[in-house]
Amino acid sequence: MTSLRLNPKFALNPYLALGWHANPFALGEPVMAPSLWIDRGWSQAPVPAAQQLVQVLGNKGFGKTAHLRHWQAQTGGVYAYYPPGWGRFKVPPVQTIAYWDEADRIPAPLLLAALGRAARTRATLVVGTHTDLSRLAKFSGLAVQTIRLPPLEATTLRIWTERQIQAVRLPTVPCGVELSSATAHEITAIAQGSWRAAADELHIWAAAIAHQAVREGRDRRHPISQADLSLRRR
Amino acid sequence: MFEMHFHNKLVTVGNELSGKLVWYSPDLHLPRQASAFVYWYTEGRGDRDDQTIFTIPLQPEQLIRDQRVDFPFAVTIPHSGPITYNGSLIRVIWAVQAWVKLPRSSKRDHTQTWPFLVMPR
Repeated sequence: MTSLRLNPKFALNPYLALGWHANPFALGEPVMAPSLWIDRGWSQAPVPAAQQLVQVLGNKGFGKTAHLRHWQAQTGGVYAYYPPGWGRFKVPPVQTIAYWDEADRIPAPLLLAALGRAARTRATLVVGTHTDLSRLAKFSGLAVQTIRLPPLEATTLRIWTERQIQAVRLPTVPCGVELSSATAHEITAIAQGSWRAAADELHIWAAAIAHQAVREGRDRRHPISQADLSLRRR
Repeated sequence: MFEMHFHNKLVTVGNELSGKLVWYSPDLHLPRQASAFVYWYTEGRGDRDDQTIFTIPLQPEQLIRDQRVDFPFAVTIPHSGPITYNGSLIRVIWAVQAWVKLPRSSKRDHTQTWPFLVMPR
């Protein structure tokens, strides 16, 4: 094992060679730390008890769940996820404010009954959905606000990457790694606007430069140069 | 809190990991609960998976203030592994973890982790 010959601690954790304690893009807690949140214009949580449906529309990986979780951390209230299959057959919870993720999977009779109950109790429902539920909500007596999340673009990706890296940096250790503009554009093109797909690519990117640093026997006194930052394709 | 002394930090599957967990604390707050175990876990872009292979027997009453207490352990790493892996999308990490729950007044839990390597034969 080459890396072990170079430095045993890097064999245990190659990210130490970059001054990180882990890959910055490993999946972590479902609620993102406030310092890692990127404001895209909808950071303020909806108002509870407003007899309304706030629907967040966007393709897979565009940040619907992240927004629901971010708001729920501000307002409290119940969060319900609707998986594909039989798991979607559960009664949607209605409280002062309630969050339903993948709400388009809720069977129509359950959805209609819950929307009606929300209107009668003047609740706020916040839903992540792939299909527009506004007609059903208005029919049930709820005001509707629709948020359409845009695809991820390179500038935002670079800001997010920088924050993710800061979150895993070892204290007092210099870090010379940054995502170049060219690589960010390449990743956003591959990811087709999806944060989740971009994070997969960034995880691979981070792993590649960590392994390169280990192979070359670098340590944190010799930061990774810009030349090392080209995206490694699988 | 704890120190870890591995006899061998690199183990091949089917062989024994051994070492000594050493407790020492001048802290007034002695733990109410404590545990230590040998386990592996995954880290990366998939759902986390983990499995505890061995629990190091220790009781909170054994953790005495201002006194070093040794907890020697030995565990055979399963032939089936998994082996330590640092991949592009996922890592498999083996470690010993010690955890103590301190009294409510101190409002602290304390976890320490010591990784080691599991290699194929």
